[in-house]
Amino acid sequence: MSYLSRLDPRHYQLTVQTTLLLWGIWVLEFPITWQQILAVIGTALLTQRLFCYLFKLPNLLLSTLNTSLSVLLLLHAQAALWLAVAAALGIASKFLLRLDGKHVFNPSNFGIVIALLLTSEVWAAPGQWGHGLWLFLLIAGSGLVGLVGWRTMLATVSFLLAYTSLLFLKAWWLGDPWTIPQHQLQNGSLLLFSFFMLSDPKTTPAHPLGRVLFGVSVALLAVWLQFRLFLPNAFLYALLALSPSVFLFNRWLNYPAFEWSKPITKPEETP
Amino acid sequence: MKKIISAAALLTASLLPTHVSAFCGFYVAKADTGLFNESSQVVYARNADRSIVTMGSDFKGDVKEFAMVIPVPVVVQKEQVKLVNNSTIKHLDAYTAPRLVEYFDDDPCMQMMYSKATPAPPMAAPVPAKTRAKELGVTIEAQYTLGEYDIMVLSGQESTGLITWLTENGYKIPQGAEPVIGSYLKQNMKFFIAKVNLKEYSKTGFTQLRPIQVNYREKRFMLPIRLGTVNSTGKQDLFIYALTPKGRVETTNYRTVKLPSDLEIPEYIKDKKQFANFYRDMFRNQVEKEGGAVFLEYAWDMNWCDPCAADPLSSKELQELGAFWVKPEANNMGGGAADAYVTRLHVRYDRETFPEDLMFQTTGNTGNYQGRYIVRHPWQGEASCPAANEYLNKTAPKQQDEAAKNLAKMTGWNINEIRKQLPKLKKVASTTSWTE
Repeated sequence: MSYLSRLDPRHYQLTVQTTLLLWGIWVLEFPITWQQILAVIGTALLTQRLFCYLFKLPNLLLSTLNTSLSVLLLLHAQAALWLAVAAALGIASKFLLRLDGKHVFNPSNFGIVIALLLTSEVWAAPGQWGHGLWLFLLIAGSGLVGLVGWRTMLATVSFLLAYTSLLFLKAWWLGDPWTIPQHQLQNGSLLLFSFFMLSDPKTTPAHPLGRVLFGVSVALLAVWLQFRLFLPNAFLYALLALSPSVFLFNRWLNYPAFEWSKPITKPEETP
Repeated sequence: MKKIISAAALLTASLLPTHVSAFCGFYVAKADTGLFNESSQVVYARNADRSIVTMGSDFKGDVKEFAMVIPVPVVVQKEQVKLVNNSTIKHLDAYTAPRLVEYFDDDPCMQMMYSKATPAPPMAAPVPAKTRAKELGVTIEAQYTLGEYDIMVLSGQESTGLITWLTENGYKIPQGAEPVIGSYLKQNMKFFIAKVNLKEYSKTGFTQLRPIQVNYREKRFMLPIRLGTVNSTGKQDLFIYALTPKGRVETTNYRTVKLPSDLEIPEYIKDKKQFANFYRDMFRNQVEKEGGAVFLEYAWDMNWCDPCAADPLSSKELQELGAFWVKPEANNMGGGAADAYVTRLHVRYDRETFPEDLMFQTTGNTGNYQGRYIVRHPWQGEASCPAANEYLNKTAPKQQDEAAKNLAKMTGWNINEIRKQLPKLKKVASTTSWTE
């Protein structure tokens, strides 16, 4: 437990992301080239370095790698250029789009969605994981909950509960068999998004109640976008659209902001 | 030897050193949709939010028995429907079919003997009472006769009324369809239904029913397959040819998987029957391995092909199949039609593995892919140098064994049975001395 509590969850995230990337390339034949990997990681590191220098801030290597891998796992393009742009946009948004001294958007979410809106050269492929990998993701995601504590993961947990309920409710209303919502939930991209993007404590409300409300709102908007506007990858858009509301939650529910350097497990479990 | 080079590279081949003469092999056979019994074919042209969907017809029974019930997202009026020639879909099937090519190994003693690359050739119902419908909560949104078909578009408040109406009007609705129809109605889908108008059919002079094409604007890029799974008569094959201006189409709620391709298989598969068996069993084996996946059989820019299983479609044919954005003058360049990209997807579905309708998206992926299998004919001449010794004793048997292993792996066939069918290769005594 003492080892676990000392482990930075971003290391854990990086391990899971790297495993997924390798699995994706070798087994699932993702169209990712080594040039793209180099371009994305290189651009992200350079952008981070540049802004840290300009703003005289310490360089955060781990978060930058997390962002790079999120971009590589969720976004595809034929050429490396647009993926690099997505990574650069994501990192730049951390420094440039700030409210109340905090960055507004999850960097990879921002980079991915803006790239999707800007060009048809990129695409997110929610079906690419198939339905074989979701159990691994569920276990890996639950591992993260164990690591950082359920309080930190409240946005993820409430999002998943709300999204699941909405899908089953919809199936019940339509008279569809349960296999349909089950199939919709066994989606690698959805779990990757929930556990490794929506879980970002820096861009979700600080207060536990705020996190729950935020997670539920993202689920509601995602379902609306997915089934009314027929938008693929709706959850990515939903998170981006609602991220600016986080500062309202934080003003309303006063709570100390999350810091990576502080203990990340539940205080009572820290030795 | 197997490197795929682009059309541009082929045209400039004469300017380059002879190494580029290696190309995609000589086309020998194709595995078209005729291999799969009871399969259906859909051509889905999509540009922005416009969908043009052509439903291929392989109906072989008495035309009196023909009836079609398809969920559509909007009310489709007469001007949004047209009939397409069967031959155009057949052409698209042939053009995109997985293909077999062959290579002939050269005499290893005759250095720099290259086969000359040949570029792809120049491309060239009786009207029902409306009141009864109203009683049952069914609205006849549109009704018209087009060519040999009597067509109606229905909407309804609830499934039982609609099913009663359909049954009363001679449409046989399978048991268990009710919840599926109900689900579609709640999702605001309409039902496009068609029967053959015998009088009009005899006037057309066609021996086969023509495919119906509907054209509408709608954000949903999807294909409803659930009605087809109600009759659990086993798995069904569906081929989707997606036409877009530029990029590949993939499913967003199922994994799109490339079929194994570009692999060498034994010579005896060249036989047409054997190739058909190979392709059917390879496909079945992949379906068993990958579960609920959609398979990619072809993805290519419609300007060219290499090797060609059939000539690319002309602009006129592409337009007929719904690619309205294709410019007619594109043919003047001597190539096929520009600005069209085709993705051929093959789905074997049933209710268990494909509970949901197919949802698609167009991607920015313009890379080419084709199902392509290679038979290599070993060189079996008289050895006149040490390289020939090496070739006959080592290279050729190794290639043959690799091909057998590929075949076993892809199809699940017994490797020993495959080996029995392999021709005996010539061997030479390794002691032969070549120094004089």
